[in-house]
Amino acid sequence: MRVTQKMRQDSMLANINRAYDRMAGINLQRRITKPSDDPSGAEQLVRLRSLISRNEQYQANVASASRWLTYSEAALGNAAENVRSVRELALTAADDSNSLEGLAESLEAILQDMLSQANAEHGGRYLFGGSQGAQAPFQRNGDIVTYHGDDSELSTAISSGLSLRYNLPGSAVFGEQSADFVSTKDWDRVTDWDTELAELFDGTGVKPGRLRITDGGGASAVVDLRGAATLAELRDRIQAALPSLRVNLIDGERLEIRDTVNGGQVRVADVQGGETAARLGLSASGAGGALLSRDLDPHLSAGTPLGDLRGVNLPLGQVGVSLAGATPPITVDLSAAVTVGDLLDAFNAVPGLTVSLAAAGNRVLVSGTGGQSVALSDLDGDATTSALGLVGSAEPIRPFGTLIDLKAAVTSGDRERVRELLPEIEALEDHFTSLRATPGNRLSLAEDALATLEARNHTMTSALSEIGDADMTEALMQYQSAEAVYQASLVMAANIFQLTLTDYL
Amino acid sequence: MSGLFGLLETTKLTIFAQEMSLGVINHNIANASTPGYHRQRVALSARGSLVGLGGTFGGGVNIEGIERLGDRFLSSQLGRVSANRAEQSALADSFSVIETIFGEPADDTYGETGLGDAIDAFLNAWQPVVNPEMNAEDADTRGLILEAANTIAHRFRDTASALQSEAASLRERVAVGVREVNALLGEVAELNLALSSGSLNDSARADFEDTREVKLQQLSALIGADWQVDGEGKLRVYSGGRVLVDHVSAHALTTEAIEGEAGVGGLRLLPTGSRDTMTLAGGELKGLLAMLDNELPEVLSRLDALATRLIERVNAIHQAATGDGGGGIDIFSGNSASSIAVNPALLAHPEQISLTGKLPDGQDIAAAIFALHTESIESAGGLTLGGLYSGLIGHLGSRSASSGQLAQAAERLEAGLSQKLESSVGVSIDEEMAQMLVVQTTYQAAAKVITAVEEMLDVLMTAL
Repeated sequence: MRVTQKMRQDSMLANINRAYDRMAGINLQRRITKPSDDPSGAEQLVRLRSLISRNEQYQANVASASRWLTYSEAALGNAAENVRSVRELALTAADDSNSLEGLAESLEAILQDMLSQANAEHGGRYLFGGSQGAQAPFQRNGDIVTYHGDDSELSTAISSGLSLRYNLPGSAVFGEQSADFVSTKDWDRVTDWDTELAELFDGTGVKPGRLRITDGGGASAVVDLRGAATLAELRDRIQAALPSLRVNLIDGERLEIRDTVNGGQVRVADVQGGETAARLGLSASGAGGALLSRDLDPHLSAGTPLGDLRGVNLPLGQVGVSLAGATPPITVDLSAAVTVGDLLDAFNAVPGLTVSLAAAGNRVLVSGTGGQSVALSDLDGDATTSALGLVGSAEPIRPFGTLIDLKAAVTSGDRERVRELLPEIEALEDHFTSLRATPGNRLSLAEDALATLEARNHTMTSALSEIGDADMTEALMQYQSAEAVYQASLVMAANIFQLTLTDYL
Repeated sequence: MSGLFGLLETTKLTIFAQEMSLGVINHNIANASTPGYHRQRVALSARGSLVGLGGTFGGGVNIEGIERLGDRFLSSQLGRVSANRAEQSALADSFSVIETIFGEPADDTYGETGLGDAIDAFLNAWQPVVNPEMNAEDADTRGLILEAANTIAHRFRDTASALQSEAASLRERVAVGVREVNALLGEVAELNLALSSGSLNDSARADFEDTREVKLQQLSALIGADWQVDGEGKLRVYSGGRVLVDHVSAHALTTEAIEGEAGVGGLRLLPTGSRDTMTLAGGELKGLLAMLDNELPEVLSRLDALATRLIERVNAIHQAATGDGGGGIDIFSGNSASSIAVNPALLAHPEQISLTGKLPDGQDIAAAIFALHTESIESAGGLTLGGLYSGLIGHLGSRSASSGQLAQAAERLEAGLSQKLESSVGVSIDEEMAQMLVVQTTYQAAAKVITAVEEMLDVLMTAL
């Protein structure tokens, strides 16, 4: 092949250019400077940046909510301290041997501090105003403190699909709550074959689906329970599908599936996303290979006959009700009550008393209305109250009302009234002590969330750096070798162009 | 004619031939770096024999003419490769401009932000509202939201208008290219005319052919032109299945705008006076037209899709929000990347922005807007807004990378071929030097022959 000067020149130039491009193209910081450097990498970078931005927003939300919660916790702590001082002052005032001098002033100071805790602000927003954060939620006009906030619960997103509630509405903290307590005993309704599947588990019910049941002998069948309404239908369909099985009711509260022919272990599983077996809690805990469900807990309603309740003997007797500490207690006669509804009606006929089915469990909620304390007790020679699990008492929570009443009693020297208010003050102390834990619990939730978010941020940031950043050592090595190549091609070009035949002629 | 005088005659021819060779060597050296120059040689042949007293001997050297050396096939092959290289380079160059327009992947370390970041910032802008401390002044939060919305609108419009101006510059480059092509076609036709006249000498003809080949190569690189010389030595230039130069007549090209999608009108190329669009086989213009007709509209329509979905979803959410004095009004006006703007009514009355409003399903507006991060949008093929954007960047990256790689490969092929061509037609100074030595020595030898003849004649003369 002929090699001309121009060829040498062209190829030298091409080599020099290529070496230079390679050297100049090495970026010590970034592996991807434009999408074409690594299209899928660039796409991932864009996606990661978006994820990180979202994650950082979550972090900001958590951090912000945490500060809010910290301030709330401090305010509640101060309020609890205030109530403790109030109790000490009340105890002092209740003792006839102590002077009442100066106590009213101390109570007024505490009242004012309490008000400032209730109107605590953070970052220009009132902590206890619900969603009305711009105006002071508690306003005192003489002896009346009114709430101007609302009951809104505020929350902020702290992760995809997870939010953190960060406020306690003032109504639930410093507002008045009626005195109420929940009965101590579940009113357990006896389960029988006519009990409907929808009534089970406090009325949350069981949606019948398809079950695959294997008896002790290894025979198996798919039992279609769809459309079954009562426990009897459930029993009949299972026994029809597998004649070796017997379905029994144990103690009027649990189902048992037993293989009476082969006697081996019975197994059951839900078919295709069903949840019948799971809801019934069928497990191999029964004796001799039988399956035992969990407590079926049928729902209690106003129409439930009292006779269906376990441990309740009709007719019922009488219950003593004491409102606002009145003695002797009012007598409520339950002997005519046949259903749960009758019983509730008998109680609710007493002015200032409300008894209703509690939201959860087969229990009742007893409350005194109009800020009265409430107490239920057995009457002499009649244990009806204990039998129903209704013995209990509760004081109303009136954070400002109690304090103002106490101050009035101290000012007027009414030591009897002071003594009357003592249980209320104690209830108030419990109220704040338990509330104080709420922000703390949420704070620890927030801390966990923050740790997770930080870890995720770290992972994503390192992924970002792994994809987008150049490996500096490698890049440096590449740079040095590219530089060496570039220098070599320059030297070579300088030398080779000097070589021509003319020098030797 | 024979004898000593005959020898003098023969030697004279030798000297002429060497002088001419030296002249051609000189011409070669002078043109060693002239583009397209094909090295030349004096074609010599032995002259018919002379009859002497003792028998016959050679009659010296004949000058046949000046030859233009070179491989005709290589030249048109190089043309095709150049056409491909020019097409891919045009695409790659334009793509790298578009990549710069998007500025992705952005990196906080260098203070860069991309369009994607602006969208994220906007979707996050409501969060301060649920963020307990930052909402002390609702006016501030509304200002932040407006700011974020404005940034998005600006980014979209800036990106769209940068893409539009890239389209304008592509159109300009096509226009310049077409003018260049038309000039070249005319020049080739003129050269054909010159070459067909009988009055040219060999050297001048060779030089004209060199010039014409340079023009043809340029045409290849521009429109993927191919050429053929028929039996009568007439040259035809083709491109896209059409004869553009038929010996001495040239057909100029022209362009016509076509309606394009996404506001980027493409161009079509057609011969003057014809209605048939030409489909080029290669060349820079093919690359530019492809960019203008397909690639750029694709990028713009993806950008528009993103803008449109964002506008639709954000507006729908804010329209549905009730409570807190705001809501029920569009946040964005416009319906594409180039028309998106913050609703002017909001700019005048920011209090119409719903901060803590609720949607009919009870969701907070802040949560609903934030959920757009992950909401898969049906009208966007189930993608999220972020997915649309990263898809756009991925598409851009892979198209740019592939055209860049093709351009590089074509460049290497072109370099290899042009080396091969250069090897065949180029001037090697060393070779010319060696040739010059031969010519010089021959000339000296011929001079020696004259001296010898003269001496011999002298001997004869004195003997008489």
